[in-house]
Amino acid sequence: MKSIWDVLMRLPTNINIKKKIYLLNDPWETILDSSNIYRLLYCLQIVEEFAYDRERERNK
Amino acid sequence: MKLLQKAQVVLCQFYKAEEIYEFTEIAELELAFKFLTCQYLEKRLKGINEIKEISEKIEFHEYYMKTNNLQAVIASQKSTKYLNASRFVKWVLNNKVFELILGDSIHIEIVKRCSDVLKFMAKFDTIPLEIVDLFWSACEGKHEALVRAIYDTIIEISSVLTKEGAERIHSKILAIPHEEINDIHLNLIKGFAINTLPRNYDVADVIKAQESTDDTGDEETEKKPREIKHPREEVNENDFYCVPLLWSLMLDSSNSNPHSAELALTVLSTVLKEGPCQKLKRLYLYECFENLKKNESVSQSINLAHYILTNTYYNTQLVHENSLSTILEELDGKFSIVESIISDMEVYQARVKKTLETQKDYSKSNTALREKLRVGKYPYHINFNNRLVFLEFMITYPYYEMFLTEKQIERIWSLYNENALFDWDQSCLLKWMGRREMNRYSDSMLILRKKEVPFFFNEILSDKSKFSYENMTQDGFSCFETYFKVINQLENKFRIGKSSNFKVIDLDYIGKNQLWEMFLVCKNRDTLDMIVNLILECQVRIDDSLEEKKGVLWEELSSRCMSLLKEGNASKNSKLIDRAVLLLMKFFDKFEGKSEHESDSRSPEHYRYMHMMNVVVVLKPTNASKTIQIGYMQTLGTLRKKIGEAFGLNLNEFKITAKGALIDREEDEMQINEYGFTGPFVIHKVQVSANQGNFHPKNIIASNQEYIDLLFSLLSSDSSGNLSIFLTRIHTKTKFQIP
Repeated sequence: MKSIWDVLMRLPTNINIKKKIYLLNDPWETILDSSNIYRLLYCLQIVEEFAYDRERERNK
Repeated sequence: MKLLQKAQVVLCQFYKAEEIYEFTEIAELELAFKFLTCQYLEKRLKGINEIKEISEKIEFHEYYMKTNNLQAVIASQKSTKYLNASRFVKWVLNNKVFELILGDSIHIEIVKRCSDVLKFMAKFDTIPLEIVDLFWSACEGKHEALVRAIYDTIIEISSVLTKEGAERIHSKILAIPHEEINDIHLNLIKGFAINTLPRNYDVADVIKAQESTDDTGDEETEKKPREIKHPREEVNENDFYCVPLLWSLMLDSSNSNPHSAELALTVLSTVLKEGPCQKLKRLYLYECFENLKKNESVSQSINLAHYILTNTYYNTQLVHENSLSTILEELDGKFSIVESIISDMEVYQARVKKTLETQKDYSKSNTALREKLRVGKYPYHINFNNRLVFLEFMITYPYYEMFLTEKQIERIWSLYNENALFDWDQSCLLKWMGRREMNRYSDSMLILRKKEVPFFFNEILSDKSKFSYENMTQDGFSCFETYFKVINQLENKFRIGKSSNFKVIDLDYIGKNQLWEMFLVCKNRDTLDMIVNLILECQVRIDDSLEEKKGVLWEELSSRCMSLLKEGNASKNSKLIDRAVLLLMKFFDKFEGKSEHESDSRSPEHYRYMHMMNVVVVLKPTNASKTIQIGYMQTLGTLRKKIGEAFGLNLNEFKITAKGALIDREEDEMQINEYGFTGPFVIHKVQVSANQGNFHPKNIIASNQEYIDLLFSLLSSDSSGNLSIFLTRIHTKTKFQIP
């Protein structure tokens, strides 16, 4: 399982998922789908990355 | 003594000189003898030394007399006046000097000094057989060191013995029971055999052969028909003392212990190297090959034959009785060498198999038994190795062609691989077959001829009933890899370049399916890594002429990996999933230019005590420079990796130049100290081709929603409660990559 996650982490971020998070057109329950814990973790990492970047911009 | 010599001068003025000479010289001898009988070693040494000195003076006396130089006899201080050789020998015998030396008060230092007197006796008279007997019997019950000293004396005098004397020693040596023969005896046998070689056996032939080789160099000469006589018609081995004994000692039928048998072989090899053994060595080559045919004492016979061939024949194509190619042709004609070796291998393995049936602790993996088991004089593993080494020598010798036929390849494969008695046999065979060496005769040397490579690859390495892919070892795969590259090179599918690296020039290369099959079934993890590596090498080492096909190829591989994952997911086959992930990850690494030596598994501690140095790296054209620390023993690949990290570049995004030339990726395994340059290194950024970017396997997979969903499905399908373990292990801080 870890090796599959490692593969996922080596890949560029999936553009479809990223778009969904950035555009926020869908409800949160759909974007952060808790029925698949790994997908949720993946999405949360995108969110974290997004939030981190914004904060850095604000500091500038 | 000095007093006597001075008295001689004085007395000669008042008395008759002849009487004084006789009186004083006899007195000198008597005094020396008296010393020899003393109980103090110092005096006895003086005694033997005096006798030696007197014998030397007598030699001058004899020389002057022979040349009728009477004046010199009188005038020379170096010469005796009265004593001559016959008087001296008579005195020695009458006074039983040797009986005294070798008697109860025998001493090693006295024995060591008496050979000159014996040589003197042999030169001017003979050494009586009684003295020969006396020396032999003096060894009985004596300490090893003393026996060695006596034997050394016998060796020293053996070249001056009469035929009867030599016969006497020979008969005494022959009387030693084989089981009692030890190192000391064999040293005596060696010295005695060499010193008594018959000098009338064509030493001139050797010189002639040397001259003809020197004169003509490597020039081709026309082959002239040579009359081949059986060696027995030319030489009688019984004319050579102890040589037949040495031969019989090394055979399995002898009672000699294995150590002595091995020594006897070495001694025989040394003796046969001597000039007078020119014809005898050929006789023994015949004997060796006759043994091979009879499957008797084969290990030692082929060892001896190998030694004789490589050390006493000239490595030349010339047709000459001392040319290695000529003798090999002769022997092959008589004994069908390769066939004889392989037949013998079969017979020997059958014998061992029978013996193993009675061994309770036998198992294929019992390496200790392999080294301990004796069928014949030598342990099994030595028998095994000797045969392979000898066969290799025969089939790789360039000036006379011998080779393994397809049938013989099959037989040897069946013997040592399919029906191997020990795992280690398989490993040895695979290493032996798979070795590809540079040698001084040609660029690259294989055990098989090029002609037989397709047969070996297609009929054996590609046949799973003969070569198990499932249980394939690293040695097995290395062997496969060698022939995979060779056959593709022969069929113009690969081009082999520097450091035996290859480029694929035809994508329809041979062995592709076999590689994939191995990948799916091989159980050994280390072998699997090697298989994956070769699959990927074939994907990335694509020749520039196939540039436009690279993209499709990489896409195909990415999609194949994902198909395997899908199949693994559907069938819950974790083995298949693991393999697909391994392939995919290594594919990413390969694509990004990372190779094994860069991801060095050795810890940094490995280099802690090694000398580190700083190298300057300059990025052109901006001239930005950075200093990188690296060890002398580390590789150019590691330097490349460190440069990439320092400048924030991927490995395929820059090129390094040094000493005015590009450092090729193929040189990455070279150590810094071998490369001999400590900087500054210059790097240039290179544009990663659009092709490469578009077809990067990461992009291919990440852009395909179906693949991403599959990965999530794989992750969630593992409902075995490992989630918490997973969460503690994953790198949640992994920075996401922007496509």
